[in-house]
Amino acid sequence: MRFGASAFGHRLGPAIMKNKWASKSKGMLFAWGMLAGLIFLFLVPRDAAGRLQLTYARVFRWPLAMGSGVVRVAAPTHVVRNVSAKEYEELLNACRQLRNASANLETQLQEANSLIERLTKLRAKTGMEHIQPIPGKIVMQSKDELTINQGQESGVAVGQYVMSLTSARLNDQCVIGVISSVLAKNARVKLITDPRSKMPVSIGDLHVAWFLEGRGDGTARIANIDPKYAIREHDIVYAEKKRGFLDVPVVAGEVVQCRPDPDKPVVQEVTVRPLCDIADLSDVVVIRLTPVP
Amino acid sequence: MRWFRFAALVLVASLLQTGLVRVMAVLHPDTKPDLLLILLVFFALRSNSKDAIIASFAIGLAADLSNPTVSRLMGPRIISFGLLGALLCDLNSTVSVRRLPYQAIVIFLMGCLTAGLSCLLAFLRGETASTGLTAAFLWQPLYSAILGPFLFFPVGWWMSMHGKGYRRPARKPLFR
Repeated sequence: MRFGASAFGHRLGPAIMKNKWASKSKGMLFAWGMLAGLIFLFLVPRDAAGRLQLTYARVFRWPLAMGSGVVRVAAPTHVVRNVSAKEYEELLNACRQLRNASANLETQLQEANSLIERLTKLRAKTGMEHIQPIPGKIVMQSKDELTINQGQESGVAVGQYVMSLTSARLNDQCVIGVISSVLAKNARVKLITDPRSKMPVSIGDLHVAWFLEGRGDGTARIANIDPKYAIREHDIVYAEKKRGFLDVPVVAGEVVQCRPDPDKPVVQEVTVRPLCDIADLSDVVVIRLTPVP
Repeated sequence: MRWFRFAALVLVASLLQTGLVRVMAVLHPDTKPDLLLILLVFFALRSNSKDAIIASFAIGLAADLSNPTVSRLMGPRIISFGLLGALLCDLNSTVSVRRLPYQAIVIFLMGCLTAGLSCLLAFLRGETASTGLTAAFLWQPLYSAILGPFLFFPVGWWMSMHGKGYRRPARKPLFR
């Protein structure tokens, strides 16, 4: 009996031990696996996980690329779908609207490119390198005054010079006036032909400063010119430098007539007209000086 | 268990899952079979417990590398595949799944459960899954369930595991 009992125990023991080891090993494996998963989930940073995924994609890029190529080839190139008349009409309208929008954008792009070209040429002139041109459009025009669509928000200030910005005579941009008042989004420009305008100017190569006064009839005049100065028709009139506003003399107009002053015959009077046709003007640029480094 | 063949099989399955399986998409790009899910169920049903646990976690790692639930996040599939694969293996030792329809049902249920657990774990990390919920919880497991049992044959041939499900080892008699 004792022999039978010990034989029983002898056979059972290793089986029980083996089962215990197997279950412990299974449990350990499961625990390790779950621990690894939890570490990946909560402890591994997103960047590191992303790099690991990218490494996989990089190592196996050839078979993955092949797979993508097969997918592209297998994908149907076009899918035919029947639509109702109403759907067709709606799609047609949507297509027309998109075409119109595209045409508008095309026009705006061309305008923007043209503006960039003009401003670039303006800044390329000698002495104009430190200007910060503020392009604007004329929204309202009265006899001797303009209203433009740029204001305080764009950096416009009273006293700044305003030049024409036509594409027709790209190299003949001229001063047309100065900013007389500013609002948030608009500003008023007092033209050189305004009777209240008084701009320091010079004529041709003469380094003498005179004042250009507007007449109110589309022209301006320079009075009290000494007869010793020989001034001819078509001589160019320059707006003189003004500290903080203009660094170099800029063309303002041309001499139309030079004659003795009817009120004071001992001096001359010069009639000046703006170099550009202000009535046809749509684009202007406000000259703002940037501080010189 | 032939581990080298297993590694090659998992690698090929993950590459196919990322690349070619899109060709098999039906109606929607997300409605495609999950080859790694099919492999998970295969090894959980046909391997012994230890091998099944290792295989489940390994397949989960491959899934997180190739088709993560959320981009740049690893761990949801490792945990969901490992946990549910181990549970399935344990259940299989009690209820053996041999017939094709039952295998399909098991694949479908495993697909729903792994998707749910992966999404929940991703949510715990403050992320939402990148695929649609309907595709993840219904269409993808359904598609995998239809295709899976048929893929068991070539996989079984490759792994030399032809048995119709895992069989409990015969109990050795205590007394002769």
